[in-house]
Amino acid sequence: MKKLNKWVGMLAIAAMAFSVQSCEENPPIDPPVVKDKPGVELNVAALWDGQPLTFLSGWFEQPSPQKEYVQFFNFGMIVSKLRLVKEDDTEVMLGDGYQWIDFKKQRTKFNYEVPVGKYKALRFTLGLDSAINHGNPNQWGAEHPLNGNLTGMHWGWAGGYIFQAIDGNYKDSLTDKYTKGMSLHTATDVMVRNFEVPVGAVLGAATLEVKDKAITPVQVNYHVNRFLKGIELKKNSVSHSEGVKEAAFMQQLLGNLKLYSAFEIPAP
Amino acid sequence: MKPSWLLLGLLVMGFTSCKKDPEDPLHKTPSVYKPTPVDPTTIFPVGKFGMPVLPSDNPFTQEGIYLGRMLFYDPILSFDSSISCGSCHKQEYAFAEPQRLSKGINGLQVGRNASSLFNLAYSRKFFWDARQNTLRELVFEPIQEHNEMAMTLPLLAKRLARTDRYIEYFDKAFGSKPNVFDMSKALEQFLLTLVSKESRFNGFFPGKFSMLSNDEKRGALLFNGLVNFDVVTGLTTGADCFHCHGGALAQQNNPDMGGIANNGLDGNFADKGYGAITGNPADRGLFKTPSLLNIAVTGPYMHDGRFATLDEVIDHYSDNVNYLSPTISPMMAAHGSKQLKLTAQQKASLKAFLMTMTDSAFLTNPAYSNPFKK
Repeated sequence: MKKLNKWVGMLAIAAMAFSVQSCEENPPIDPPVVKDKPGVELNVAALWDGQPLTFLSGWFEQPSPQKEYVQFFNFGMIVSKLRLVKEDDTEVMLGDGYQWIDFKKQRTKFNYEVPVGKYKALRFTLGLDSAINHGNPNQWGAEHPLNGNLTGMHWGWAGGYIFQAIDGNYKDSLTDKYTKGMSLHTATDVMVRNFEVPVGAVLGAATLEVKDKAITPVQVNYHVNRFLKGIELKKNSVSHSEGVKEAAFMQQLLGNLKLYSAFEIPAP
Repeated sequence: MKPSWLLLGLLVMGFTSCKKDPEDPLHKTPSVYKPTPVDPTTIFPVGKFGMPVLPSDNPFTQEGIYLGRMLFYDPILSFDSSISCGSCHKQEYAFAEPQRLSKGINGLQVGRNASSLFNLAYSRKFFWDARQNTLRELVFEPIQEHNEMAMTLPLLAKRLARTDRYIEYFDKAFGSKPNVFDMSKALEQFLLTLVSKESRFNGFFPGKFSMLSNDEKRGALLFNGLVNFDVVTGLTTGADCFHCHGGALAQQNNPDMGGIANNGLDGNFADKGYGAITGNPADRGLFKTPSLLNIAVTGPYMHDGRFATLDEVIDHYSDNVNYLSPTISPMMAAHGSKQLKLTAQQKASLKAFLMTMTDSAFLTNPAYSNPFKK
């Protein structure tokens, strides 16, 4: 009888344990993260003199002779034909090649599957082909980078995207009581620009190696101070890329991007 | 007690303790729960506006939408059963109301002007101060605010649970007994279906100018033109409305691209708006930018209803923008702190263009009307 009681006791404990545990309906078990395909994580950073750009806080100093102070409110970009370049110069398109980068919203990290190999550069277009630029912005899915309602980067009436929107304020000096507006909107077909950003300082000097079953980080820096280098905002602080004066100003700004190598991928 | 009885009892407990509490309001009864799905492409004009991002856990159903519509118009959602959502959001005014500030129960005044409600599926921020990100969360606020509907959620749950039509429709829509969680989802469904797409503006947008009168065309050019003062006449050829009210929705949905902005109303902020939510001094005086669709019927205007007429609104942007306002939108400050000084003719043209944005079909659509009115 004692033996029977011992068994009954054990069964009772088991039943109690069952009664407690069985109330959990299919407890969620996260599957182990197994990266079975090679890929890259693009991390795009906006920098001012090497420091992360901040929004609506702090003033960034334009170097002499301007000595103006800039504050950023908004900073977005639409790029296309985003692709990595292999050592043999063949290209691998990243996703469908389109991306919306928004530095204020920190929409700056993008993951793509790419073949194993060594890559020497990133190529992309700031802006869009004319057909896409003037096509129906509503043709894209709800979360696609070219969905104008999602990004706000589309001028509905004029029929076309804003390829880069930088809005903010500037002051002549930090003691100025009032700020003045800065609105630099890159748009229209003639403002489309292609870029090749080498890994490291010079093309071919370094490569990024993508290995199997691993994510390779790709750091892309955008030195915004180089975009504004030599610009006196009190003379020019607005461009929508249209009209003789504003178009010329935007051409100058876009020229800065290449002239001063505003985009950079540090060697690993 | 004999050990064998103890064992039996525990085993029974083990097998029965997981049975759902029949009083659980979320308890599903699948045999009754067969809602009729509604294809979102039949609700949203994808060709005109694109497809919005929709909540993945609240698919449209005929029953859910209808339940939301009943709830929207039902005064039992207010503490004293005197007002409904529809009391301050009237369909004929694009779900705004012609009051500077609305009144809640017992005549208590609400702090801000009642917003219009349409094309909400395309918005990502709600309320004038952009404090809510989803309609599901939004609906709980006016229901509970002391100067609006002043209801408590436990009392509301009880009221819903003893109302026959809700016992029937919560079951049909969600397979549940009436409860405030599914109430918010039903209201979300109904609010998302409020789509205004049939205005003349949406007929000719983006470029069928031939459908406009000459006056409307002049207004369209001003609306969509950049501020540019003619060196000879001194007049601006553009009023730059489109940056914050552009596109087919006449609204900027990206908060950072003009979707939340200080439009130069004040130098000091009695109402800090978005700044009161974020605590960031740079956000003081910023408010959500409304769509201009149906603008002719949504007055009074601005977050505090300070402008009674559309003419006063145009006067503000033409002549009275406070460019010294510390947080003024960079896109407005970029105008060079110069008032537009539109002529009377320009103002009239701009107004004529804005009048093309009225969607009469939306204002009278029976699918959005009060289902309790026969």
